[in-house]
Amino acid sequence: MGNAEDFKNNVSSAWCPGCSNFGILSALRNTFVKLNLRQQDIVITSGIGQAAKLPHYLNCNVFNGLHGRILPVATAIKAVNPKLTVISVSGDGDIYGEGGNHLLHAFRRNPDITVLVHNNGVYALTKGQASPTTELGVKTKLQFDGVKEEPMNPLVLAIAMNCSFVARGFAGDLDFLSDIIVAGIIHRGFALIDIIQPCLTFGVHQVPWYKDKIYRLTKDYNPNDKEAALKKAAEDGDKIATGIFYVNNKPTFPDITVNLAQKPVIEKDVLKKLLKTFE
Amino acid sequence: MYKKSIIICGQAGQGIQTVCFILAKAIARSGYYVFAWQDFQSRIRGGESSSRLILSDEPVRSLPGEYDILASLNKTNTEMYLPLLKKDGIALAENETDKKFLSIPFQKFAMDIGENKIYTNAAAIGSIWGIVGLPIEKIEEVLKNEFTKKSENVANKNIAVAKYSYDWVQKNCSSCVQKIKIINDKPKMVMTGNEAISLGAIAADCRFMAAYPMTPSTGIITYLSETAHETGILTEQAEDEIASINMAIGASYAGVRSFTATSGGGFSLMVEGLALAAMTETPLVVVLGQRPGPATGLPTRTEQAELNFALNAAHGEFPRFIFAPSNPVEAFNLIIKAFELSQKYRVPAIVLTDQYLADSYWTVDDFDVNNIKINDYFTKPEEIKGEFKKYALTDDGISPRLKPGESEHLVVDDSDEHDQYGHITESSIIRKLMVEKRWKKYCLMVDEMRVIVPNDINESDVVLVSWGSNYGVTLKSAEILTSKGIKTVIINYSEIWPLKVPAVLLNRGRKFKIIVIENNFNGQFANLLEKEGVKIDNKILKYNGMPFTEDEITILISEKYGKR
Repeated sequence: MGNAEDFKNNVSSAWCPGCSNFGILSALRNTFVKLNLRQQDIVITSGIGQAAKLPHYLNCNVFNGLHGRILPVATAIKAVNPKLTVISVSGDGDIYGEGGNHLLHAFRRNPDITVLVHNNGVYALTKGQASPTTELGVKTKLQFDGVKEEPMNPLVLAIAMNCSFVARGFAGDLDFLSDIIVAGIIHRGFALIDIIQPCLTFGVHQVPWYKDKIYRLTKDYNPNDKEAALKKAAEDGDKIATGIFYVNNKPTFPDITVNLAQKPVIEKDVLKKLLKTFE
Repeated sequence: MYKKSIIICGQAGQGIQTVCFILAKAIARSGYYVFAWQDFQSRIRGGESSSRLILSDEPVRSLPGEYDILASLNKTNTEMYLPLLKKDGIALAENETDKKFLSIPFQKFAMDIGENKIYTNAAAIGSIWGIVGLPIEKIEEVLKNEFTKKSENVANKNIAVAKYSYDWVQKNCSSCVQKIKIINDKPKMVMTGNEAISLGAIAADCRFMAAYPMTPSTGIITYLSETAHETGILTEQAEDEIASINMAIGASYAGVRSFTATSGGGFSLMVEGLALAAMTETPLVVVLGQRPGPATGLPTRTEQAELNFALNAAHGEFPRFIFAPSNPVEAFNLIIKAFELSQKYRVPAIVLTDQYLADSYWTVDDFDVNNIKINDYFTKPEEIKGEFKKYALTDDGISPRLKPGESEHLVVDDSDEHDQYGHITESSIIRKLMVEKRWKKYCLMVDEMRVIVPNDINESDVVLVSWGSNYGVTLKSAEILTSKGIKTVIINYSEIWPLKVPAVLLNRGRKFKIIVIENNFNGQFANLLEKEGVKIDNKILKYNGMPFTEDEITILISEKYGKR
């Protein structure tokens, strides 16, 4: 078995000291160890934002692309080489805002990739504007009268659209988060893991505030029951559930499992045969 | 030289394109060259549409000003197209009392012989073929091939209706029938520019293609999806053009050749992705099928106004290749070249087409399949000494490239400025080195481009310069002008960027006039040449959404430069 240290590199971090992202990063390293993955088996992809810098702090293959656009990239990487474990690391602005359309269609397309959304309810890298998940009424430097748009509930959206695996984790409960990520990676299909990740600098609430409210879904919760999952995801009370909300096994994209990158060159005879059809 | 030109007009939904396709196939199977351009509206039913079809015993790539035969499938459309008919031309129409028409009851034939009005098109096919004067067997052969897929009964009824109409025309209008013989030759292929591009992509060993449907490029993903089971290419209709280009980039990162295809509007959405490919030095081919803009423009018509866009698309500075094939053979060859060079230099390559190339039916004698050379530009993992640096600084700017997962070497790509390992950097020293690394490739890239200059250029009166699909009409115009005493040669650019300017065009003492032919308002290519120091004597520009016809270029030039 490997060691979490194997996934560490010497790239210096651009995160704020004490950021809850560090916890998620270490949970991810532990996840790789639990799954017995090698560095070369993993491609970790991301868009733009503080969360999107995470891949640089891991010793794996990395593709750090454009703001909001990582799902199409990750989908194609997995499609071309199904042997790779493909993970996307994103934030609420990146994937629920800028890249929203790709998320909707990833639910439908169902590529076998795992998406971690560091959801802090704020645009931190651009210094504190509202994100699609910021609560109503929160005042920011830009939304100085308070946020007027309703926050989106990504879990409800994902379950409503039959997303293959829907979960919520908490950056203050790393053991459980790591278990959720393990399950998401093992699950064959598109896994959305929304992670409550309080922002030290711009966040409305901090880890201790959440700690009182957050609870783990227990073994008697059935993630195959869509109606119950929707209800659970829509809960809007004092308590916040974490765990695996919904699992729906369905065909993944693409419906072939060859490594296109290793396939021999297309035969000239195939081409010649196709040309014949034009005569 | 033998030549016959035909217009088939009617409404969207009447199957004009099928009539045109069947005729084109039968003409090619009879050993003749054929070219067919589609003039369609962006709608599903009604309106005015036409197909223009030229048959010849010599290669044909351009449209005349007037036609020999007009076949109208819908009364309301007839008047609109009549002015395009030659004075001694023949007009076929359904139930016309006017003497200038040969009235043919297409629908009645369909009902009487085929017992269903869906065979009206077969009546039109048979009637037109009767006037073309080639043996009916070739039409029977093509109908059989195309319709047996549906059912044998449908094929047989099509054949019966076509044959009946063919005989009827030959019997009832012997004066308009001019019988011609089949030329026994190697069978020619009939295909669209889009199909040639798709075949080129297959030949180039492309494995992945993602696109969002947009005229005039939709035909590419359609053909590649249709043949995916035979080729093993993975195609995906993405949710939008942004996803398309990002998928193509992801596939390329993972280690396969990939591309996307769109039109101007879709390419507008793709430009950030283009910058991503450039920054991460990920090989990528984009087919940009031009159509008249801005915005939605004229969706189904033709124009060449995206050259400046292709040249300047995306933020930041980076080198790129731009090609603009003029016909299917070039489209096939140049998409292969685009794939090869994009892999070799790890820069994006854009292939410009337009509706005229993409959606027309062209005759192709053959592709040089046996001489296609596909190189593997990946580095072997065992050749990497020490740590792998995806962006290693090298003399020519080209770094080693590995596939992720293939070995213990890790492949790290970043859209941020990055160090040699691919990790984010904000170091101004590394930034400068990386900009220079990306641009180092440019000098080598210029040497890859080819421009054909005619040997007798210095003996000419006029040099017509065109690019992309205007090659056909420019070539024909030069022929006509030369026969009229204005010695005209052509230079057609199909390998556009990096721009190569032949010295002879820069010669201030030259005797010939340089006239640039373009389908846009500003003369975008002419301006590019002028920037390089070429003095342009005249520009002939057309931007009404329609392609040039042979007569309009020759009339303009004869008036200005003809000997009086």
